[in-house]
This record gives sequence, C-alpha cells and structure tokens, in this order.
Amino acid sequence: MSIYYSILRKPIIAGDKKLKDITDDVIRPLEQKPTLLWWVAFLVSLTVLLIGVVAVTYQIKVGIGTWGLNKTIGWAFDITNFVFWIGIGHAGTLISAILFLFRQRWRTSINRSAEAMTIIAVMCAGIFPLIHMGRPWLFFWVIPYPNLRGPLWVNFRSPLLWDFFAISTYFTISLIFWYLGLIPDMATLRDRAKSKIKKFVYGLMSFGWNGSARIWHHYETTYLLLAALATPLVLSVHSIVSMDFATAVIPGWHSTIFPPYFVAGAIFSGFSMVLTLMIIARKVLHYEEYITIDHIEKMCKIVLVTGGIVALSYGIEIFMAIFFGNQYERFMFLNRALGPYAWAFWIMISCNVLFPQFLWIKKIRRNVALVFILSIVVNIGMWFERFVIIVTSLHRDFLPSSWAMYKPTIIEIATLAGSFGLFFTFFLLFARFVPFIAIGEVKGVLKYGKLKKNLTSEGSVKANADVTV
Amino acid sequence: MLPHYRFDRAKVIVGFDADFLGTWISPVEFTKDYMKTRNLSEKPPRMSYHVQIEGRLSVTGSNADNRITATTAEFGVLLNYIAAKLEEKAGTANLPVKADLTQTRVSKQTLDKIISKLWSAKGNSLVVCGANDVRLQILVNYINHLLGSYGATIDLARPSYQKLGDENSVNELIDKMNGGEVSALFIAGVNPVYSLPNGAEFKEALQKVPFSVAFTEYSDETAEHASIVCPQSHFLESWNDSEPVEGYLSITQPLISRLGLSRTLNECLSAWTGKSATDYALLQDYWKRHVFPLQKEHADFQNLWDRALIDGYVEIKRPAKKASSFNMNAVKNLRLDSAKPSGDYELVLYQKVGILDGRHAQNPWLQELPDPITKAVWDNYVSMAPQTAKRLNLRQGDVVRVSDGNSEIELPVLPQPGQHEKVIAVALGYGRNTTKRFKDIGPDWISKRPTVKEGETVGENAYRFLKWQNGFLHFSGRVNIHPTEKTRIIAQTQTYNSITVPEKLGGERRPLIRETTLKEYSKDPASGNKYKHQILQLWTEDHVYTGHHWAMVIDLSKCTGCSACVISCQAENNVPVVGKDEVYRRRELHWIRIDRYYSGPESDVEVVHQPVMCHHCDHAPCEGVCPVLATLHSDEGINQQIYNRCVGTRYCANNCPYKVRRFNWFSYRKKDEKENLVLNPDVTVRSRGIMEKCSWCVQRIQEAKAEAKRKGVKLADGDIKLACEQSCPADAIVFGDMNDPQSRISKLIHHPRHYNMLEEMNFKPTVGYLSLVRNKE
Repeated sequence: MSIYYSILRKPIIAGDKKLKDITDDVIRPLEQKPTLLWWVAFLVSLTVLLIGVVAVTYQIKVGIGTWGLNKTIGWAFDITNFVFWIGIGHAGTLISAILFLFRQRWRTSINRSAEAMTIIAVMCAGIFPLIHMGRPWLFFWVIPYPNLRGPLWVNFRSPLLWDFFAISTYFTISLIFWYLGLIPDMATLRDRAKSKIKKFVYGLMSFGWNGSARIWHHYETTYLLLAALATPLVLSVHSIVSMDFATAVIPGWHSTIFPPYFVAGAIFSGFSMVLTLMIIARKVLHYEEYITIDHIEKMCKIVLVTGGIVALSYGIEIFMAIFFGNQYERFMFLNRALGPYAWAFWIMISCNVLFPQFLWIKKIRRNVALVFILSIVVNIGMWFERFVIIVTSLHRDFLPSSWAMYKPTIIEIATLAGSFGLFFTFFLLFARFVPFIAIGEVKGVLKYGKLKKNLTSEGSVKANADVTV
Repeated sequence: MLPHYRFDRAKVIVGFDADFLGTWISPVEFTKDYMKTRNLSEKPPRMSYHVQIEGRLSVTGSNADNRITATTAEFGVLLNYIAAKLEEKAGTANLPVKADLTQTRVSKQTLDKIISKLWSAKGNSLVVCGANDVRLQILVNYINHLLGSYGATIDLARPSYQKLGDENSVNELIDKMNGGEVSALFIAGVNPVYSLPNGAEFKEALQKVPFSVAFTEYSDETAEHASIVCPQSHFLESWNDSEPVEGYLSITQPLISRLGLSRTLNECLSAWTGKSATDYALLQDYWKRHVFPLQKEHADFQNLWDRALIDGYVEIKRPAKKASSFNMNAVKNLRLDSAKPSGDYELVLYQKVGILDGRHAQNPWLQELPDPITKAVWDNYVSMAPQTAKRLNLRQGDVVRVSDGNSEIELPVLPQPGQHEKVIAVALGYGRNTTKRFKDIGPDWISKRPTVKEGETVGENAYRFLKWQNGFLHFSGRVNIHPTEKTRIIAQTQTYNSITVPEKLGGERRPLIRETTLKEYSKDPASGNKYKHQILQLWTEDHVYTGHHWAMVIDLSKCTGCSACVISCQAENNVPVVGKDEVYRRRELHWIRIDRYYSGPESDVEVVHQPVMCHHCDHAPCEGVCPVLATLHSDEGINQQIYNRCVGTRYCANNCPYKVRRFNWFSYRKKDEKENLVLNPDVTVRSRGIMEKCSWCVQRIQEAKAEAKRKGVKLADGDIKLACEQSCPADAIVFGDMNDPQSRISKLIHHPRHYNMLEEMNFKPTVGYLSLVRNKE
C-alpha cells in the first residue's frame, strides 16, 4: 500500500506521479483558457509596461535631462537597473548549466522557468544601456563592423564595449540553451495538439523531433556542450559588468574585488528572484509536487552561501577603505555609511547581510511564506547595493566643489516600474505559452529516490513521509 | 573730485567695505594694480599687506590677508580711532572727537597692529572706504593725509572721471519737476525710476514734465514713463570715446554693424541740432578739434587716430590743475553721531560682479554667472551669518521679510560664512522689469521650474532700502527680519563649500589647495607644497610629444575669483545658458568654473578661489572608457572631444576626477536668428545628448598656428591667448608650450610653487597650479 523510498536520498518529485501525469500537469495550463488571475496579472503588468514605454519615449524625445542626473552624477537609476536586471539574469543559466554539470538533478523542476526568467531579465537589462545614451539612435556605433564612417572603429579598451559583447553573447547563448531544452517539449505539444495550426506551429518549433534514441543522443550531447559553453559566461557577464566600475578611477568603483563580488551578488539576487517566482508559480499552477519544499530549501542554501560571499566582500571593501591609507577611499566608505545616502547603505546592509542570516534556521528555510518575504528583501537589498555603489561613489568624489545630490525624477521611476512591467508581462506570456517545467527532464528524475513503487497506491503521499523499507 | 587710486604703489592697503577687486569704481584696473604689489617672483618676494574691514564677505574681502568683520555703523569709530592714533604718531591734533572703542567688537590690539603697519609703510599705504558717507570719507581722507598717501597712492593730479554722479542734485531735480520748472527732460544712461529709493516719486514727477525723452538700449522702468523713447545702439555697435582717468582717452569701436534701427546719443543730438552725422564722423571731428591739439607726438591726425585705434587709448597732457590743499576745517568740524540702532540687523546693499547696479540684468550670461562668493545664480537673496540663521531657525531657501519700517522685501535666506552676525546683505540690481522675459529660458519639460514665474522678475528690487542722508544715498541701514512660511530655491553651482570634508566623515582637509604664508615662502619657496608622491610607472612613455605640448598654469595667489574668465569662455565657446532650475539641478554648462573653498571657523573663514577647467590629462581617465573613441588625445596633448562621434554614455564624465565634463541634457538652442548672432562661428554648436568640455580654445590655437605658418615664422610664446587667460585681469592664467624650454609655462612648471591636483593618481594633468601664498602670520 505504500511507496518505498530510499534511505539515502529523498525523491525529487513528490507524490505518486506517472509519466503521463507529468505531461498532463505541465501542459494543462497551456491547454486551458487563461484564468481570471492570469488576466488580472497580465493586464496590470502590461499597463505598467506601457507606463514605462511612455516614459522612455518621452525621455528619448526630450532628452536625458528628464532624468535626475547632473554634472557630477552621470549614472544612477539607469545603470542601477541595468546591473540589477543582469544580476537577476544570472540564476537561470547557473541552474541550467552549472548545476547540470554538477549533476544537481533537482534543477530539472525549475530550470525551464529560471532560464526564461534569465532571458527576460537580460532583455530588461539590455534596454538600459541603450536608453541611457544621449543619442540612443546611434547605438550601433558601439558595434565594430566595417563601416562607411571612415571606417571608424570602436574603443576596445572601454568596459562599456566589453559589456556590449558580454551581454549579447550571454543573451544569445541563454536563448539557444533555453530553446534547445524546449525542443522535446515542443514535440510533446505538437503530438497533443488538436488544431492543425497548433500542430504546424509546434511542429516547426520542434524541428521534427521524433524521440528516437539517436535524436536523444544528439540532443543530450549538444545540451552538455552548450552547458559547458554557457558556464564561463555565467561568471564572465557580471565580471565584465563589474569592470565598468572596477576599471574606473572613482573611489568606490576602483576596486579589484569587484568581479567575484559582483558574480556572487548576481547569483544571490538571481536565486532570490527564482525563489520569488517559483513560490508564486507552484501555488498558482499547483506545482507543489514538482517544486517541493526541498527545492526551496536547496535554493535557500545557495542564497545563504552567495549572501555570505557578498557580506565578505562588503567586509573586505570596508577593510581596504579604512586600512589602506587612501584618504579618498576612506572618505568614500564613511560617506556611504554616515553620509547623506546612509539610509540606502543601511538598507543594503540589512537586506543583504542581516536578514539572509535567518536562512541558517532550517524551519525558516522550509517556511514558504518567510522564504518568499526574504527573497523579496534580498532583491530590494541587491537593487540598493547597485544604487549605493553607483550613486554614493559618484556624488562625492575627489573635488568637494562638485559634490552633489541625486534624486530620481518621475520619468526614471516610471522607467524602473516599466522594466518590471516588461519582466512580468513576458514571464506571464511564458507561463501561458511554454511548458513551465521541462517535461522531458522531469520525467528523467521521476524515480529518483524512489526504490520501488507500489502500482496500486491510493491517494497522495507526502514527500516527507517517514521512511519505510 | 574722485581721486585716482594707485593700488600698484601701495604696500599696506586697508579697505573699509570697498569692494575694489569686485565692483568698486574700476575693479579691473585695481585688480591689475593690486597684483603688481603682490609679486612673488621678485627676490625677496614682495606682497602688499591687505586688511579688509567689512560686514559681508566681498570678493575683495575674500582675497584680503587679514579680514575683519564689522558693521558699517562701527566704521566711524574704527576710522576715528585709526585717525587719532596716527595723529598721535604724526604729532598733530585736529580731531574733535575721541574714539569710543566700546562701540565696536574689533579689539584694540587688532587696530593697533593695523595702525603700526600703516604707519611703517607711510607714503605707501592706502585706506579706502566704500561707504557713501561724507563724514566717514573725511576721516578716510584725513588718515590718508596723515599717511602721506596724497601724491603717492592717491593721485589727485590725474583724477578719475568715473562715477561722478551727483545724488544731491537728483533730489533737487525731482523738486523742480514737481514744481513744474522742468519743461523738457532728457534721460540717458540712468534708470532713476528703478534705482532711486524714491523711484515712485520720480515717476510721478516725470508725468508732470510735459516732454521727456529716454535714451535707452532696452525698455526700462524709466523709459516706460517717458513721452519719447529713443532706442540706442549697443556700445558694440557704435563709436564712442571715454576718459576714465584724466589724460587717458580711449576709443570704443563697433564690432558689428547695427542690428536694428537705432542711433547713438551723439547721433540723436547732432541730428536734432540740424547737423546730422554718423557717430564715426562726430567722434573723428571731436578728436580733430579737441584731442589732436593736446598732444605733440603725432603731427598728422590720421596717425593719432590710427594709434588710438590700435592701442585702444592715447595719453594726453592737459595743463596740470592746481592741487587743492587738504581742508583741515572739515576734520575739525567733524561730528560723528553714535549709531542709534532702530532695527535688529544692519542691512548692507551691495552689487554683484555680474549684474552690478542692474544695468546687466537683461543679460542671461551674467544672470547665470555664479556669484564669486555665494556661487548662486539668477537671484538675489538675504545673506546672513550661519550662526544668525541658526539662531533664527532659518534654513537656506526659507523666505524672510526684511523691513525697515517703510519698505519691505521678501527674499530667501542664504547662510554666508564669514559674515558679521548682525549684518544681512542683499544685492542690488535685481527685480528689473526687463527680466520678466526670462520666464521661457531654459529647457522645457514636465518637471521644469521656470526661472521666473509669469510676470515676475529675477530677484527683488532692493533699491528702496537705500536711504537719503544729508543728500547722499546710504547703502546700509537698520532692518528687522520676519520669517515667512514660504520657501524659494536658490540655485548654486557649488553646494559644498569647505576644503575639509564633514567632521563626522573624517573632517580631513583635501590636499587640492596648497597654501603657505609669505614668511614661510620667503624661507622656502616650496613650503606648503611638500605633498609630493613618488610615482612608479610600469611602462615606458609610449606617447612622446615631439611638437608642441600645451600646458597651463594657474596662480592661486593671483586669482581673485572675479569670474571674468567664466563669461569670456561662455562667449568664446558658445556655452548655452540653461536657466535657474537647471543650475539648481547642478547642470550648468560652464566649461570653466571657479571653485571657492572656505577653511577655518564659520565666523572667520579664509577663502580660496580655484579656477578649474578640463585638465587635459596626459593619462586621461575619460579617454579609455569611451566605447566609441569620442574623446581622444591630440599629439599636442589636448584632450579632444569629438562631438559628432559622441553617443552620450556619460562614462567619461563619471570617470573624470575633476568633474569638468558637461553634458547636453537637452537641446538648448532655439531657432532665433537674432539671438544666434551671438554664436562664435569658429566653434561648433553642440546638440543634445553629447558631452562637451573645455577645448583649450582649440580654435585659437589652430588660428595662431595657421597664422604663424602663413607668415613663415615660428609660433612664439604668448601668441596663443585662450579666452580665460585673455580676460583675466590678474594675469593668473598662463598657457603655453612646455616643450619650449624658454616659454613662460616651462619656467612655471618647474617653479617650487607648482603642483597638480591629485598628482598621486598619475593622471598627469597638464593644468597645474601655483600654491597660494597669504601674507599672514
């Protein structure tokens, strides 16, 4: 009458699922009409997105002056948002590539949606370097290609150029990687499709997948190779983003610790965002048996570790500033902690260093509501981290005569909101049109941790049920 | 008669609220002369000792070696004491009153020290006073008489012909106008309805004059009420001459042909008298008849005329006037009334360097010129000591009502370090009708605050606080302050004022300004400039400058902060005016700025002015970060901004340690054919979304190089004069080629006073400074 569990490992997928159940569960939302909740969420997101579109249109039409920047502070909300979204975009590829290489099979429940999140977040991020330009219509000048303007070449020494390469590469690889994983599921959708149009479209998108062993073999080899290719990118993108600051001369930016510090911070915020989204999704889409408490706990542990690296980096920065003997560096730190933007600094410290410490407690890690709150707290903290790094370093640098304050305008706030609108609009569309969970991969881990399965089991069994042999 | 003050001959200067480096009589001339007395390159170095006694902090006070704060009401006592002590030393006794030092906060020791300095420099000392009070001026004259300044530092043989207006007769005129005695009134060069405290009275009286003619360049408050207005040509459109000082005749030449249908005053008068002629013909005719006979140098008139045009002036000698002797009776009959305060504070009315008495109020460049001291633009305000503001619980921008019983004015508060606790200062020249037009100035966008609201003027008119006293207008008086609920923003280009960082953030001084005292400097010319760093370099120098290598040196001991360079740069380089709100948002576009730092306690600050423009670093942090190579280094060491390549990432500005890069946040240019005539055709007009900054007037460098090439000669040191350098009355800015070992710049770079800001960072800026030397203990 019962299911047999391994004494060594817990199963990844809870409940008594058959292979068909998985297909049904994952595809159900796609085949149903959208729920009222989905419509409400979608329309709200779309509205916020449109507000952002209006703000950006106005800004491009009138000028960067519609932002709160000034002669001293040349970047603020724009690059803060950029780095924030790039950071969010880190978890997806980490989950799908690095955890894949490390054989972390629990990733299968969340990799699809985390990757989608990555792609959308990188799209959100990519908008900011574009619109922060004084003349965005000339953005293609940062692309090195043989041109008729001389030809004029680009400056390969500029970190902004490296950014352009890093982000476009990251986006491309992430998109391909995500789509590759999607092919078997597209074939499933094709096979289940009832209308001819759907069949045709899914047929095209699945590239004629026939599920043969040979196809699977090719698929898995390619997937492995792409994972290996994507892995260094996970580390390189944010390293390069951090070099925008690290290679500059401004105290608070000029720091060799930035690349690892930024990568850890990015994973920290990326996983928090995954947690936020998954906790909502498992509830709304009834995926509690796929995205289990164990999944949440594991992610919490990653958040805890990366949060620890972030805290250590803060500590090292402070240590260097105080003991290095450079008066500008020392002042920069004191100004962050006690100056006019101290509130932002202390929000950052409390959200990124203090609150994540609660995750040491197992009970909290397994408390969905608390984890949800903490995941949002971390992301608030990580947004402020970038704000603190950018604005507090710039606003009081070497010459006191140029010290200034920054206050965002309504246009900037609308643009930030709009980026969230874009994110959620696309994510809701993803949840509506693409299998939220990688069906093929989850099927592969269905029996994980389960020794023997009673085929006549009745009712559901809790994943955490006592082990019976 | 106004004597010609010879600051160049003075060794000890005591100024009583006379802002002679800022606005008093002839500041450009005085600045040049003053700097001649502060020559550090001589051996031993020579520096005049300058004491400034004033209530507010003026440009002159900010440059003084010893600055003492006192209210204008105390001046009588202070001057009386100084005069009495000098009398003692001179062995005479003419003063009828004894100084009562209990009426002043200034200590006896301080005064005695000044007196002994004055006395020891007898014949080379000068006391000047800006107060418009006969009794004070008699005392000042007496002091100068005792010091033997007449004929030495005060030239009566060649008096000044500036500011010779007679205030007394204006009142008489009003009476006559009211009495119907005036049937025709011609008004030129003045604006009495605006600038008299009883301007309203003048306006009413003007209505009673059957025929009044106003000659004016712009519609002004007085012209509005005249029966006929004659539009005058601008001085840059017309020929004219002047004699600022006896014997020095100068010619004003037009720079452009006239833009509108206008005449000069001379042309009007000649036309009306039936001999219509152009101002050029009139001027030449006058010079032929009146100036030519006065000189012997040129036998031919054309020679004289050409010389005058080339040099800008000619010197003539008229038969010397009989020097009047000192009238001791004035001293003997002197009565000083002890000031009976009728209000809490003493109001000091002053002029700003840009706007002066209001004559430049319609000029947006000058409205946006940061005041050398407050760094505020587009407004006047109530300056008060920070302690006073704290005591009254007032913060910057809180609007207060200032009243003297008759008049009231509402202006925002600006706490001003270094000001006397009991003094509040308000600038004249604001509240002009002509400034209503600035409602549309600056970029238009949703969160814009207009520079002036519809129908309002820039600032408020403070002239009504002037007081008639014994026929003279007094620029100070007692007032009360009442707080109001209102606030008004004050736009400043600099909001952190100290060279030290805030106390709670470490409180350390930034080594951006290096200074020493004359005494230390005489012992060791490198004193105060020992903050040297050893810079190790991994790489060999890969950019060798084989041709020119331009550099600039700015002498901090010479810069008075007058800000002439800021305006000349704006005019030369087509720098747009952005309006008050944009300045408040810290987005002014000036390519050169003058950083003004305070040090010391708030009540007694020391001031330093430091001009900062692009430092044209040889290791420029801005150049490496631009993704599109829009900012590059020329092979002559100029950091170039390529406007049409710039995409506007602002990365360069962020990475500029000196924060000299300016971004075009909006499109500032309007399609206004007349207004755009102001643009310099040699300089690109920048569009929205791109970065700009000081180019070292590259157009002038290129022009000078081309000219030298055309003539086939080598470019000589000093052939290139940058706009800032050219306009500096103190000659504080020197530009040249440091590859030329004989150039002035090469010598200055190796001067022991030379330093670079942030040299330890190895940016290798080619703009350097000479340390500040103060003549203090």
